[in-house]
Amino acid sequence: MDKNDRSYSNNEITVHWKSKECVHAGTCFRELRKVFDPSRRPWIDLEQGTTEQIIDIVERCPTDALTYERNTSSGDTSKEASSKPQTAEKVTFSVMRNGPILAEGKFTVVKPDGSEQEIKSITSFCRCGMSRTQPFCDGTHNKKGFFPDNY
Amino acid sequence: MNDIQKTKVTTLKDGPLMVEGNFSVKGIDGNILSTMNKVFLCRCGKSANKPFCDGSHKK
Repeated sequence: MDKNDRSYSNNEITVHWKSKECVHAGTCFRELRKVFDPSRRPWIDLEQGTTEQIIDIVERCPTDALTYERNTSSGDTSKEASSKPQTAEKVTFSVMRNGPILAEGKFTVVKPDGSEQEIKSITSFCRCGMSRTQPFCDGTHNKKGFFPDNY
Repeated sequence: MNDIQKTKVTTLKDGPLMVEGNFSVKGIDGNILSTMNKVFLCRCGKSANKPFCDGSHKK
C-alpha cells in the first residue's frame, strides 16, 4: 500500500484511490466533477453524488486507480475490491477529451532516449507536449490547461 | 500472435509518436478513426488534424 493511497466512504460503499495507478484518462472529473474534483482537498467527496453515479464512474475508470467495495451491514467493508474488465488482445488507442491518449493492450514503447519499455495492460501518452515524463502523460495538462478545438 | 503484429510505439525526436502494428485509434466519442497499421500521433498539441500529426510541430 502506497502512502498516498486513500479511501472514502459513504453509508453504502467505500471508494479506494491509488494515485500511482492513475493514467489521467480524466473520465472521473470530466463526468462527475462534483464528486471527483482534482482542485479540491480532499479531491473525492462521496456526499456530492449518489452511490449509483459514483459506482458508474469508478467502473469506467480504465485502471485500478479507482475501485470500490460495498460496505457490509456490520459496518466493516468487505475485502474484495471491484475488478476491472480484462484488456483485449488488440491494442486500442483512445483519445481523451482535453487529455491524453489512453493505450490499452500489450505493446512496446520506444522512449526518447531509445530505450524500450514493455506495456502489459495500459498506459497513456501525452498529447499536449507539456508532460515531464515523455512520451507518457503525467497529468500536467490539468494544471496548465489543454483545450484543443477539435480532439 | 506473431511478432510482426506486435504493436510498437516509437517516440520520434522533436516529433510525433509513430505507431506500428495491429491496433485501432478511437476518437473522443468512441468512434474508430483509424485501423491502419501505421499512424503518427501528435504529441505537441498543435496539429490541426488531431489526434494525428500534420507537421505543425516544425513551424
